[in-house]
Amino acid sequence: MSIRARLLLLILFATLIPALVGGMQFLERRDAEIAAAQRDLAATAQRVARVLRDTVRATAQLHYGLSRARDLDTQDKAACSAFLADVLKEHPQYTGILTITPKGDLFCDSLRTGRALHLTDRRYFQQALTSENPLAIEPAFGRLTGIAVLQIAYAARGETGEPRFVLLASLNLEKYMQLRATSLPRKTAVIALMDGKGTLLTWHPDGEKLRGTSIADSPLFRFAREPHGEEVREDIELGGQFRIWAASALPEFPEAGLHVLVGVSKKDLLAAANRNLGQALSILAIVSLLVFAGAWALVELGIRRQAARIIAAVARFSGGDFGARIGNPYPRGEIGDLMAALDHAFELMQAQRDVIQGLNADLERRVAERTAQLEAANEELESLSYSVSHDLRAPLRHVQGYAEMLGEDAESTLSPESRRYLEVIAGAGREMGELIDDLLSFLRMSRAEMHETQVDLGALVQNSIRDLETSTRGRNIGWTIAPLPSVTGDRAMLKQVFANLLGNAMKYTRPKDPAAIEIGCAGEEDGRLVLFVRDNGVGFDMKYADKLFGVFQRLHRADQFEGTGIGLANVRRIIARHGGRVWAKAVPDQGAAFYFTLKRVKSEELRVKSEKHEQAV
Amino acid sequence: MLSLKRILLVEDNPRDAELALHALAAHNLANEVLHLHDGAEALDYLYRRGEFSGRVNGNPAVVLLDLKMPKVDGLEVLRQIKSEPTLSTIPVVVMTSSREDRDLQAAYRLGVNAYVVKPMKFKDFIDAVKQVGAFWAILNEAPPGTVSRDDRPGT
Repeated sequence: MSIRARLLLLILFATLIPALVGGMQFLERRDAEIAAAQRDLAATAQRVARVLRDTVRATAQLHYGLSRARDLDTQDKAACSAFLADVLKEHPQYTGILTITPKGDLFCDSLRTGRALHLTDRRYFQQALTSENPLAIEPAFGRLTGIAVLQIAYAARGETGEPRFVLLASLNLEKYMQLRATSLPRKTAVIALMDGKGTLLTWHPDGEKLRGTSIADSPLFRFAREPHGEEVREDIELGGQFRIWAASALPEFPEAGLHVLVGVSKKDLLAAANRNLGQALSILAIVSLLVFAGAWALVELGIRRQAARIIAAVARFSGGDFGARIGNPYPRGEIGDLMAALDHAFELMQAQRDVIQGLNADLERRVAERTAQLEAANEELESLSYSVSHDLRAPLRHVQGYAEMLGEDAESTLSPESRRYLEVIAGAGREMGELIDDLLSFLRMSRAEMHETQVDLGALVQNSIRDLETSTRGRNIGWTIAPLPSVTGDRAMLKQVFANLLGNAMKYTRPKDPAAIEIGCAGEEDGRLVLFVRDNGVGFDMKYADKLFGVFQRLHRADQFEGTGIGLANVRRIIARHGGRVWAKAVPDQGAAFYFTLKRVKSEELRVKSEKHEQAV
Repeated sequence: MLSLKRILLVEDNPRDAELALHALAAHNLANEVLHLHDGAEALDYLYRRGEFSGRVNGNPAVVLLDLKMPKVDGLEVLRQIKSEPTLSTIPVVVMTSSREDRDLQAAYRLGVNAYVVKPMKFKDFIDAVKQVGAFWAILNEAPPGTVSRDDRPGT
């Protein structure tokens, strides 16, 4: 996962979790808002009910005061009506104030219409007169206006308790409730007043049609009468609209059965809360986005891009651009420190590399110089051996040729002495020719390329002995050949080693009968096999052993044992080229032994070989 | 007119040349030999240039060629003979003092017909030259366009 993806996830979590918590809180707040609105609804209903109760009580106080007024204690109907008209002017909330005689006749009338009314059948009248409480109220509809009023009656009694008259004030409920409707918490809210039978006394706003209708069979009626502790009840349909309703009774006046009902459209209530939630969530989303963008910018500029700089520089450096640097360590702190440290490391590595390069260049130059010197030396050697082979041979041939031609021409005239001189000349030439041939073969062998393979020494020795058969004919030689291992080397060169060593052994055992020649393996030295060829021949004095392997070095006189002295030089050269060494041990007249070391074939190769062998068998 | 010879001996060393002629005389071939002293002379002769520009037609039956010579060496002469269509059929026998691998390889790569190392022993040398001369000048059927034995002067 890339650092960009990781950081993106991190920031996403870092902004998402607060956003979720905030969102949850906003949702809770919406619920709380709805609950508050519902409580508000209930409180409004209660407040209006309380105000209505207070108004009724205030009316009772007014009645009490009026019942003590002397202006009403008169039989002058016109005068008391005028008085009540004045009172009514002060209290416009009433549609009228009047007094009723204990017999039930209208007496004083603030409206001063002079009408004659008999009111004994009115429940408020009877209740005011009969109950202990002088106050009685009853909602009713005006017979002419059709609007709802609350009849508030008060029985005024004399000192002995006899009823003097009943005061009645009719509170204009329509107006009263209209006034209350102006202070409703919501525009879509409605407020209604219901009596104990379920008749709607008022409905605001725009409630003319519903006024006087009964809701006795509506769930609202049942809820108002028996709320069961609920503050509001949802989803009650009335007048074609579903609303949430709160209801409040006036328990002080149970006989009137008045209930204040406040309803509000559920949609409206939720819409408000939802609007608030929407705003809050929008703000939250914007804030979250800003936080996300800010954090992302910080992370991108401060971490991701800087990490990319580091990676790019490291990639360039490891790709061979040793001048690559991160540069300007930014931002401060760990990343900046890392950049500075890496640049420092690059600096050091480049410096070291320059040093190494310098050393390498020097080394290469020196190798080239040495190689050139070596090549020059090789070339010189080559041209030397080329000219030896051509230029030295020709005069030799001529010496011999002309000596012989002289011999042929002057055969009859030459003295025996002169003839011997000619033979010496020819013999010397021949000898020198052999020396040149040996020298050339030695030089050729020194220069020849080596082709290392696995060489079976046992077979090689048998081969070499067979090649020597012509010179062993008639001789009594006891061969002792131990089982020989395989070695790694150039077959032709190793063959020459055995040819020389076995040839020498045979040559220097010539005086012995029987001769004994032994070929074997004498263990190991520095991980190499030690091989030997031993004879019981004339041997040599060990104090000359160091001369033994030199070119044209001989320890025996030419008239005893023929040879040019190149064989052992060849042996040493070949063994040296195989990375080994050669040495000799000898006792005069008892024999000599030549030792040499060769690379053993790795056991792995041997095993493979033996497996092949088994398969073949 | 320059005489026509069946054997062209290209040899810078007068003693070797004398020894070779001595050997060839045994088969009466000495008169058949034209001895030239270096590669440049040999090429002039074969291409009929310079002092040989007036030479009559006909190629030698064999060229006995030394390798190490001044001016133009034997390998170069061999190369020019074998790359020239009118000369490439001439048998060329390299006769040299030493058997050097690189000379041997180069000579055979250029198309030499035989490669003889001059033996060190005088008798062997004489035998070798005799055999070479007898084989190429007498026994071997020379390619067309070669000077025939009957063309030689004096017969």
